[in-house]
Amino acid sequence: MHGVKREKPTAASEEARLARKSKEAVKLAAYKEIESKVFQAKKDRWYDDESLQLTTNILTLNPELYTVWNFRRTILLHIFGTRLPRQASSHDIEGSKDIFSSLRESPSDSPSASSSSAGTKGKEFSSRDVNEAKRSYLETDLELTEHALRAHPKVYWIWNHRLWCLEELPQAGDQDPGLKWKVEMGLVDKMLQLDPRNFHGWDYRRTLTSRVASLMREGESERESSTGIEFPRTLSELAWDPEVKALHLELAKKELDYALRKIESNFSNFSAWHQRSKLLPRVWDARGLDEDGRKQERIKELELVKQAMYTDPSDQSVWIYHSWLIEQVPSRDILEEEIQAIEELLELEPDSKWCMQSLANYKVLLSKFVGSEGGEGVEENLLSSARSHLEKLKDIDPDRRARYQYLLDNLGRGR
Amino acid sequence: MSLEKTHYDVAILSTGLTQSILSAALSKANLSVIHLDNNDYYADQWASLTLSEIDSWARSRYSKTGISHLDISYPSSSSPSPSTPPAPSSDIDEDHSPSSHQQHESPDGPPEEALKLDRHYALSLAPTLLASTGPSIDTLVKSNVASYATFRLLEHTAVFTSPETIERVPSSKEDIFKHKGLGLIDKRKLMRLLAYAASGDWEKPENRGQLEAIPFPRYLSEQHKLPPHLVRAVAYGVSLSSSSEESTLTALARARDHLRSTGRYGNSAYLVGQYGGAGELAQGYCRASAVHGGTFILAHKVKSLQRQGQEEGGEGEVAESVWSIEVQGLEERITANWVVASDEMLDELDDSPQTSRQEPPASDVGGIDVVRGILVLDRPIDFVETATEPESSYRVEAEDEEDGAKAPVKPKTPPETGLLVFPPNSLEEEGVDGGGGHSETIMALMMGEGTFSCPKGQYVFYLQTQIPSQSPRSAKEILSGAIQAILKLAGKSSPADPVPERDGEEENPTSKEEEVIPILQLVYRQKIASDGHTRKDERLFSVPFPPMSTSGPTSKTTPPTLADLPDLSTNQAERLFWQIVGEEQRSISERNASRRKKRRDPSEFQGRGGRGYDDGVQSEEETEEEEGVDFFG
Repeated sequence: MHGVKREKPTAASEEARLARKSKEAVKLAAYKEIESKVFQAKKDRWYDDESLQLTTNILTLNPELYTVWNFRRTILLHIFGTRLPRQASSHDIEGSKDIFSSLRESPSDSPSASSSSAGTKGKEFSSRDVNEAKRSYLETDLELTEHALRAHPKVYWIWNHRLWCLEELPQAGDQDPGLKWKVEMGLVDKMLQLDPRNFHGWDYRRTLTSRVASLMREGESERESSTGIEFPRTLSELAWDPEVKALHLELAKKELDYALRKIESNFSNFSAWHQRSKLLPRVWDARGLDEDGRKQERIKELELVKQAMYTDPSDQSVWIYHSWLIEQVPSRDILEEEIQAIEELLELEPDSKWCMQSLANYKVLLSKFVGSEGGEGVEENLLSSARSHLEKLKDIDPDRRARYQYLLDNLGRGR
Repeated sequence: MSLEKTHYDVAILSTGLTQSILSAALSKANLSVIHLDNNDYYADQWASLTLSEIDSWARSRYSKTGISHLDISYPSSSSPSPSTPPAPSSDIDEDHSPSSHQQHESPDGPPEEALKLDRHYALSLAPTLLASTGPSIDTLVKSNVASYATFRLLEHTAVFTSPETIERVPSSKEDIFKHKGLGLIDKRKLMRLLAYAASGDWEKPENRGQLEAIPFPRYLSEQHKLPPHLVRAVAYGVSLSSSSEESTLTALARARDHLRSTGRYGNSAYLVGQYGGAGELAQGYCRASAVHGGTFILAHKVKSLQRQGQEEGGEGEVAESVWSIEVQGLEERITANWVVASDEMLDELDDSPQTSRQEPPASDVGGIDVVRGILVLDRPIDFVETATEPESSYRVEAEDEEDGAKAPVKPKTPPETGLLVFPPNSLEEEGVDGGGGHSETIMALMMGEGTFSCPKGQYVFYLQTQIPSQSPRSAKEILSGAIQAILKLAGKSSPADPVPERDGEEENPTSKEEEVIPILQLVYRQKIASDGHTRKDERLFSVPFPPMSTSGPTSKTTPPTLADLPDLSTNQAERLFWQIVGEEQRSISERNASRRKKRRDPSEFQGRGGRGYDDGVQSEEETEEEEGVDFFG
């Protein structure tokens, strides 16, 4: 707005500003106070419920404080390792002050009931009580991290803490030991629904599936779990129990399908393509495909990628996945076919930098095949065409000029 | 009955959508509003009616101006005589006089069975698609009326091609990527066109002239080299062009709005309002108006409207005159500074001598009628199963295999909402009921029980097209081709219970298809009054139905499409609003808006130890700084 006299801030809004300032100051002071208390507790190694409550307070305000998440785990480990067993042995569960009861939906569920029975039956039940108490602590933390993740879905420490809680969480009674992981899968589904491109979510999802998979295996034979090979690598293991392998294959197919659905709704998604690249070769291993079978599968996958390429040639994720597919086991006929398809696309989109970049790359690759199979003139043609693509790229993408020049300089010298 | 007070700033006659939005806005701006309607239901020409209400509406409309060629029947209950006989030729010569309306009154009312579920019907007199972006949705959100209503996404859009096939319209990146029948080159061309439409580059002044001159389908095939099936899909399925002659400029603007709307609430550009849509929204706005102090009187006939000098304020000076309204059943007359009425209500009041006699509408568009149809069936058109994807020279074999393996796993849920577009001349002249072809686009909007438009297991189809007023064809003739096609398409899916496995569509269709007989069939022609609102007199406005676009880039007037109606109505209401409260208020409001834009979003600071959204200071501050009206989005 020009030529209009600026109005003086009214008294009312001045007042509001002051009110806000003072309100902020109060909040800041409160935060600083809690912060100093937490760090003092950490310094003094107070691993008790009071310190735990302090970490709860500060983490609700600021879930990005990784030191405090670490401190919280130390406190919990301490409580689990020393205090709970001691209390259990003296049947003193009822006496333990449960400061989280107000945070839970049903504050007085089983602990008190089971502890009274523990009193009559003795030692045998006390370890169950320890588990119950541990569960109630960890469930509180699961709730806390869930809240924190809602507001901060991309903070490593929260995901990290949550995974730790789940690993520690003892199973309740005769529940299915995989239940906690399956329930967790539902949460990840929801998260990825809200943001299908959150790589934390995808990474976490992979961890969960490998946990679910390892439970399938432990049911069958305990020995193998010690080998340390995790799903989906298990699919490549030849000497694996075929029944477990079949289960793992099914799981992998489900995950592939899940990734495909995410790709279909928006293929500009590095994580979803990555998920496919992680699983596909393992699935091919498990299906015992020979080189020709694999090639057919790759061609199928390339067909899918081509749909995306033509729909939006400027999407980087598609091209990166494409080159991964090509470079798995480069073969002459696939290269020729793909080069032709991209040439056609380039005709429609003469300025597409991804088209040119891929063409330059694939033509160099192809030239090696041609060279080794005798065909000197063809090889030179391919290289000079790659060269002209790179030259043009220098013009249309000047920000990466030097990189293209580097590629030009090294062209034909073997990669 | 008597009122607490008898003088109001504004009296609004009819609770149509435009009037209702205006009413809510005025009440919120602290003007006193009295809102009257002859009917015992809300929304007047926009209403959602039950079966019995629409039956009596239809019967009363035989004599109304603006409505002609009305024909209502309940074929499923009067099976012996399957449908009323074709239009007698006698009405052709006297088409324009009000007495010419066909009087094919079906002797029977609605069938008993259907009447038992009467309240389950919400049949809309103004079926609409609500674009996910634009003035209408913004105002719904800002006024908080959106929270009074519920919506569904429009699930499917398909284009009809003769004979009896429908092609799904790929209108988003997701659709195009997933579309199995579309060749790679076509995918690229289509994406490029859509990206171009969405970018708005074509809006540059140097392009406009050329784009305005060329019809959209020709533009698509000549300049973008789209194959015919994609021309159809884009022109009629995305741009919803009403004719093959629509200018590229108009069509691109609609395509742009479509694309910008897609993705806001899901993979569709449109929402479908539940309980009949527009009528429900009108009622919501009326409620918002009442919350802010608006007074409502329904089911009382407005008897007269007159100019009268202000009695009290006189004292020698030039008395400011007010409008005086006589309402049946009210002891005192109501006075108001401003009156906003519907064209229909004013027409009825035209007998009152004091109202300035209406001249023939100045901007009579040379006569276009909207042709409307409502069809209630006991089964849907199965958009998923019935839709074929166009053949392409570049068919992908590998993909098909994969899909074939996956297909049976898909759980089948019947579609709830769908838009089927019949492009101009897509229906063959079959001679059913005197000709099925039509040279303009016919839209058919399907709404199932999930939209609360009809009882369980039934589906409402709203048909809409247009025709020059001088055309002698009856509404039934014009729509019969589309109606037949819908019945045949619906015949391919079975009623209520899940569809049994069907093997291919190659088989002799008659062996599997049942003949579908509509539960209700209502068709009529509706005269389009004029464009914009008309100022009939000092401080008297008449609101035409349907609202027309006044600022369209073309001089040629086309009636609004299903998707345009809510936005046009909102704009209509906003224009009236500023005329009443004064343009100076508008600049205050715009200044507030720009100031708000500059203010940074508090959520930006959240979580970094900064201000949270919950400190409660922000909102106080805002209300203090901002004066003036803040209603329209």
